[in-house]
Amino acid sequence: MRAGRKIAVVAAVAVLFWTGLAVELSRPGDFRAYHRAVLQVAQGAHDAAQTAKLAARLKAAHRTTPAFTAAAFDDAAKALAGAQKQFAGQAPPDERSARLRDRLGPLLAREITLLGDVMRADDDTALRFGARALDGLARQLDDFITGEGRAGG
Amino acid sequence: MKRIFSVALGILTAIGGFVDIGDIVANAEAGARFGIAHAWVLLVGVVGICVYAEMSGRVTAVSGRPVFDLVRERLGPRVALANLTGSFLVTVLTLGAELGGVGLAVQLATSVDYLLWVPVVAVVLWVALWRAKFSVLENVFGLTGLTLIVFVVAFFHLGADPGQLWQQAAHPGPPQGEDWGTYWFFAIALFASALTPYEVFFFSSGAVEERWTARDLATSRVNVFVGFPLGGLLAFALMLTSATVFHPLSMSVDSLSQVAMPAALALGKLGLAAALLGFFAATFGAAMETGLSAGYTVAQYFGWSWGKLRRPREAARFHTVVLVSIVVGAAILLTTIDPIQLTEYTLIFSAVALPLTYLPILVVANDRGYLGNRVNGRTANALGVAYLIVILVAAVAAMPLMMTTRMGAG
Repeated sequence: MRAGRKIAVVAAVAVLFWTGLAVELSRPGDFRAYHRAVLQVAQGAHDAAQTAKLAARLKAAHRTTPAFTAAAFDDAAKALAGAQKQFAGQAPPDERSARLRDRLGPLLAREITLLGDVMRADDDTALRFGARALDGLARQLDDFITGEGRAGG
Repeated sequence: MKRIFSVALGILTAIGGFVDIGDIVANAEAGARFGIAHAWVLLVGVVGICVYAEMSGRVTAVSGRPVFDLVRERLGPRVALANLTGSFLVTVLTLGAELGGVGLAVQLATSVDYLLWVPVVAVVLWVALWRAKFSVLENVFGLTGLTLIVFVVAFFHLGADPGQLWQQAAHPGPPQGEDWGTYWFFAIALFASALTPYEVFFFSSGAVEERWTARDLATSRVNVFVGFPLGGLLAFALMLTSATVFHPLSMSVDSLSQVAMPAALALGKLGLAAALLGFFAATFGAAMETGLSAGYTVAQYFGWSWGKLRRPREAARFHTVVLVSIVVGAAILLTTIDPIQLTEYTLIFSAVALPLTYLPILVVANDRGYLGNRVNGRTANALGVAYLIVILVAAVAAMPLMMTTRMGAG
């Protein structure tokens, strides 16, 4: 094959790939895509809650340093912020999706409050209370993920 | 006595130097998501790196020349250029990931954002590579990396359920809620973390730096066959502790602070301090290895003077490549890409580039012109070819799995 033809073939493949990617990315969202995104958001929020819970327990038991606790809480907050950003960036395409949003939204809102409280807590009782609350919330998120995961998109 | 001490030191540094940011991230993530259902992958990976590191060590000890130098001579500049391009790009990306790992480890100890540490770490790394002796660097960070043993101790303190862990290891596959695509994506990442290309280039060029000869073959083999598997055990301990703490909570791991938590949960502040020191030593040691490897591969391809044995003035181009690689690695991080994400990408690109690294080594290790009667025996060739097939399959599957699973998100 001559060099010119080789370049043409490579260029054609690249254009096809790019077009496919553009079509895929610009396709309007359906319930399935929204459902998948919501599950990802819930998983991110769940992980953030569990991380913050473990960090709070470690701090309450005096098994960690202030710098490490601060970094761990910070990681949890970043994970939650990332999940929230993803959640806010997706508009529900139909009624069924809106119901899904309405179930997850309050859980995320509650997590923001709980995470803020536990990050500010400076006595062991408040930390343990915060850890318990985050544990309960993590369970609710886990139930949501399991239930919706089983229901499928 | 001196010989025994030297061999023991070699083993200890091989153990401590085995783990890098790729091993830390891949093992902790896999442990959290899949329990120890990927234990077999780690075993396959460790045997693979042993097979190929033994070949590279033998090639260097017998010929007195590093593998990359011979690859260019034996396979010609075109094939060697493909090898150089793939390996160099992956090595520089890995260097960026390691620098990020050092920054994160320091952040966990100081609570100062890792991005502020990255330029400092880059400068310290460059000064260390410029000024310090090769053996000092290798020994200090290899031995300090041994503090990761804290994860072995932590595992026994955490009171894991051995029956459940055995169940996970004996029945490889995705647990409920995960799919096979994600399982294989993590398998490839773990496999690539054990066989990262820079490891063989560093091992082979390091052998030249330490002036190995055919008389050092036994030392090389002991380092590889004892040190690497024990280093693999440290990586396995990361998977085990993650599987014990995070898997029952159905959570995934995506930060270094999470990886350290099992040590703190089991052993308190002392365990946490050991874990952070281990992360620092493992990532800084690997940053040093990847920085040098970047210089080694380019200098050996172009036939420049290279190595820490020579004064920087006598190997100016080698040191320039090292410096530029460090700057590029730091610049990648300063784009604010998450170091853990960078590590994940690096592992997948590394999997794609693996055949470019390992096929030439197999070819050179069979060349009587360089090795005389020390060429590969039947066992080494059988294992080498078998691994090459696995490496090819992993390389072909890596990108499609990355896209279909959205980087393992499922």
